Amino acid sequence: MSFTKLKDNFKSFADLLFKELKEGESLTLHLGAEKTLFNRFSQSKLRQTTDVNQGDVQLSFNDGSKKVGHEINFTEDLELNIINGKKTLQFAREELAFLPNDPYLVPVAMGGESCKESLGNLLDGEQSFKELLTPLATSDSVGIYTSGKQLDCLADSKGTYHSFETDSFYVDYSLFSPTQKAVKDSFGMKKWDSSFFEKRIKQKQRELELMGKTEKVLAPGAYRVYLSPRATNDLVSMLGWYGLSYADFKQGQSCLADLEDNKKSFSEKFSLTEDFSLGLTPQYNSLGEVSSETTPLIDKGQLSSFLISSRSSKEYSVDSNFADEGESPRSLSMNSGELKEEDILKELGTGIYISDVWYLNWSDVAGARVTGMTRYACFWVEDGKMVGPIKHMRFDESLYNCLGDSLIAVTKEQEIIPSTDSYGSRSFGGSRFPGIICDNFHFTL
Amino acid sequence: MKRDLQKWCQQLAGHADWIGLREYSEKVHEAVSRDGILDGYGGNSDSGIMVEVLIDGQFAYGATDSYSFFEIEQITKDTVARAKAAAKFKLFEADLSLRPKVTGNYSSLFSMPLDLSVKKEIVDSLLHITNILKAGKNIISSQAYSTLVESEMHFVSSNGSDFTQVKHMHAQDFFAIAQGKSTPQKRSFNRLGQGPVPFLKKDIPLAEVERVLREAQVLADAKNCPEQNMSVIIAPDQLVLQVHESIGHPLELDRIIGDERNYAGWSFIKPTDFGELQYGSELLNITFDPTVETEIASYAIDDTGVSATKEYLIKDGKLLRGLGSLESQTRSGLKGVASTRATSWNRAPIDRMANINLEAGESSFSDMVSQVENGILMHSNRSWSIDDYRNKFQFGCEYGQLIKDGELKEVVKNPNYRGVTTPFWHNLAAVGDSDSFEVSGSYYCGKGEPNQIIRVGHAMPSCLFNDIDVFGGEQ
Repeated sequence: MSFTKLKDNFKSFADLLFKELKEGESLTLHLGAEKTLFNRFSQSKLRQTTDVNQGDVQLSFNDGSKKVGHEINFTEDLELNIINGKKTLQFAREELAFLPNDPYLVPVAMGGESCKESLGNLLDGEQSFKELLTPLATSDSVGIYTSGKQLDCLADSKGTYHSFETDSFYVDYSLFSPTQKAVKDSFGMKKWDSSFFEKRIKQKQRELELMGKTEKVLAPGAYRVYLSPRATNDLVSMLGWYGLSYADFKQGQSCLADLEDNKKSFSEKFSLTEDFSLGLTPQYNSLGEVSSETTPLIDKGQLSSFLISSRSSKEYSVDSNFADEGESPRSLSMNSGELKEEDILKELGTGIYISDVWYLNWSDVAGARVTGMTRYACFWVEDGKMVGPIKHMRFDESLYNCLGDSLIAVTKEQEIIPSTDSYGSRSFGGSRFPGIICDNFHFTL
Repeated sequence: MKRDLQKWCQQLAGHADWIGLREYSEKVHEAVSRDGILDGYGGNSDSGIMVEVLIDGQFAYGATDSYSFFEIEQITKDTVARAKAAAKFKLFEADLSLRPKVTGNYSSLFSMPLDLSVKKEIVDSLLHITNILKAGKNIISSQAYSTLVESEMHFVSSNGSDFTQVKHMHAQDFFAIAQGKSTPQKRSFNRLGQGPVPFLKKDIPLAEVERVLREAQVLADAKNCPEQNMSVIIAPDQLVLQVHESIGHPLELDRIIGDERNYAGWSFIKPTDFGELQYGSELLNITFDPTVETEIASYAIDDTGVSATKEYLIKDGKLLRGLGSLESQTRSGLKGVASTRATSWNRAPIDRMANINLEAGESSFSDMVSQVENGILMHSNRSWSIDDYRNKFQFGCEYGQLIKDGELKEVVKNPNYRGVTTPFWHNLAAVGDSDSFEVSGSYYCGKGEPNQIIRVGHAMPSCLFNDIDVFGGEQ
């Protein structure tokens, strides 16, 4: 699969389809393509290896008052792409004929041009087994190595053209002890580095040894906790689901309604930004609009802005910040604080060190209350010293508490958390989060 | 354009000990209406081929959406090379017994072409539904959604398999959000399956639209659910998630043998529990049933070519069988079912649920209500969470109705409950009869690395549970 050929094909495909448009019609084409190797391993042996070569293009077609979107496969076969593209365009015209007008249609507009290419040095399939599994051989490990090239291109009939191409890999894995205690690690890079991987494994093996201590069984109740950057990412990212979307707020489905109404607030220690300077994901959205490099969302505990798409802008008469249509965050970054890594246990004092949380869901959206489980390396800490692993607990806690009055400290160090989502296709991106210490974190079961 | 899979398979057969080609294509039509406008309309058409090879006792996979034999041949050669290299690190020794020969075809009993007239009818129906809902007092938002799917899977292999499976599926829902004196409250209705499409102009469930509207309005001014230990009658539109999370997932064999520990999680079930563990009360009967024609995951073969038949997973409360592939069955020595499934052509098949049903019992709904001194009826899932061993769960519902001394009383908002899997199922006190039996499921069941969403069917009646920890929301 040649990405150079795919990009050339996409330009030719777009030029040809734009020429097919009649007066008043507009078209946006959005290509996604990947060549990705997925190696799954279990018991430090190879379980499944799959190489995926795929591309698809979204055709968003409108006649000035109505819109239709269709997605079709896009391959290196330009002739076949054109046949399918023309057929889809004609089909969309026939569908527009019976659709009602869309009062909030966002017209296609020139969204500029950009081209970002970030190439790496990745292992091929055969190398990857040895490089990955040899250093893990002395452990019981399970996880996935995902590696390859991703391409995103967008063109519209008003002259917009953007492309974003990247080579990258991530390893997402866990190490298990004979008593099935586990530690988790996840990292992403552009160039494989054997010694870096081996160092991380050794660090995780040391953490796993700590898990061998006697398990502490805690009673339900409120505890002081430290949440690692990965756990903080999971908890705060809940704001991307029934939180930061302006449409959700207007439609009665946002946990930030009380923040907007000044009935509740977060701590001054908590700020959250949509930050494309991380360079992990395209700065343009599916309409070709380019967001600011940074958009403050929560500023020192106060709502700075919702994520607002141009569609919401039109419907609710507010300014767009060029969020994508679903108004989900694409590149979240939480501010750092003052707490140094070496002081985390001392500041925690007596409480729970939580490395990972799992299966979060809203137990009450309006109250911003989230339930979930602790997972992996979570320890009981007494007087600043690790005592032993805890038996995993269910929590049920309002973000207005743990990111509000109960937020004690935010770490100075932040971590980049790579996105490991691969539903349908491999996702771009990631986020940047610090760790936090909170008081009175509620555990229920 | 169709690929000549049989011919290609014959041409490629010499590259490995065994080769399978699985072509999967899917056409999806989607439309959504919000507050009387069309808020989204479109679809997608996706097809591709998964090349699966077996050589040196190792399977490997290569996927492409190309229609070129040259490309397929290249993918096959690359996949064979990877399989050979991977064989030095193999988890288990695979052989041909894991890919039995299968021939034939299957098609959904009900089919409907995705032509323009059907699409127009769907759009008109969705607009009609949200026009009714948005006109209701205190309604601040309404939505109606439809997705229709035509899928076709063609599987051929070098040991003579040749099977075609065609499915026509739908998932449709609507909801209203009402704002009263306190926080907004949502009430919804959904249907999914392979049967007749419910939201067509002539078939719009108007009585359900009116019920959802009425119940949203009542919820908007309802009191918060109390925090108490009490009896709970769980309606099918919540019980499906309870079965899904606390029975379906823990019975997946790839979890039990530890392959999913890094993401989806493990299971509290141990291999020695099969045939021994009393999972719940004797009223609990759970089946894997691919034969219910209107359920969304009915099929004749799974994605490795294994023929699917109805099997009891739990009978009279006792655990009998898991969910899993011939690979997992061979490795674990446990019995499974034909439920090795891939979400599409671009993913390798793994152990999944398909239709997992709780068989109807003998209690009428009114019998169950009359048994409750202090309890609550809960409807419609809105929140779900369970630990990675599938033990400690918490669920939230849209609509609660208190039960006092055998009678349904006032409506409460934000009903939630929590518990631990096997004690919960041991508290099963009554199973509804066929009158409360509903076909439903989960359109988005996520699992696996790389991630895979699969459509899962569930069918069950209302059930009564005693001694459950119930609680409400913040305000």
